[in-house]
Amino acid sequence: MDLIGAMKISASGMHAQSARLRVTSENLANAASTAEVPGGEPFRRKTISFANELDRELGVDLVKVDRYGTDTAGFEVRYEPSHPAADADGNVLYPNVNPLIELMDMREAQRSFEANLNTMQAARSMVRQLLDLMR
Amino acid sequence: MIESAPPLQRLVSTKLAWASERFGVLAQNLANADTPDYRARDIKSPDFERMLMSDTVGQTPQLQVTQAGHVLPVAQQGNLFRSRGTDSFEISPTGNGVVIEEQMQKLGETQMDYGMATGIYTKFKGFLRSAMGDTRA
Repeated sequence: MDLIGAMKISASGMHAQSARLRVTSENLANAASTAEVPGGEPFRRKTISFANELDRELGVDLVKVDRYGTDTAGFEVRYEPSHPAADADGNVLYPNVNPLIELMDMREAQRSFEANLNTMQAARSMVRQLLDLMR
Repeated sequence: MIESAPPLQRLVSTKLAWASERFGVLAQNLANADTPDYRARDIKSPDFERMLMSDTVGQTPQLQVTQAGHVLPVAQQGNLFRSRGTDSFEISPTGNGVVIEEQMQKLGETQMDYGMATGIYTKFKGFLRSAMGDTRA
């Protein structure tokens, strides 16, 4: 495991975090996506989980996206009889997306991304220091 | 003077190898900062003081493998610095034990160690140059 390997690990970390950010933005964008037919199900919040994966070439644990799932939490019910997706009782189901949770998730992904980016920058400067020894 | 001193290059290169190995482990921790059930790891520092004191730096007899049945001692099995799990400050509800702040601090430390080792080597080269009468040193 050398400095180039460290850069590869950081890259895998950044890749995983950007996938997470994509899921978060998908959830946020669909925070008000109701069903198209009366009484139908609205958008269901998506989740993402990570797992470490052994890279046999480097002998280190990289990160990869384990699986994309859906949140099984219940939907929000609002009484809006005039809504096109309202059921017979006039209730409309809204997605189980909480913008506050999504924003926190986004912030966390951003912080982890920054940490990986800093690692990569540090590795680069160390490689440069090493190359400077040849001067 | 120089011939009686321990081989400086060997010390510096051990320090550099250790720092880059540790850097890799820390990068791995940071990349897995949100992986469930992942625990932070770190590696042990080589005993530089003992290396400095002993006259036999780099001259430790190595066990030779001449038959398939010979087993190397742990110290000679490839990886010089063994990685080990650490006790972290906290474990998140997902079972992840990586504290980003702690890892960043260690990363900075490692970077400084690396800079110090390359700095020492550059200085040493300067000494040799000036001994050879090079005014640039």
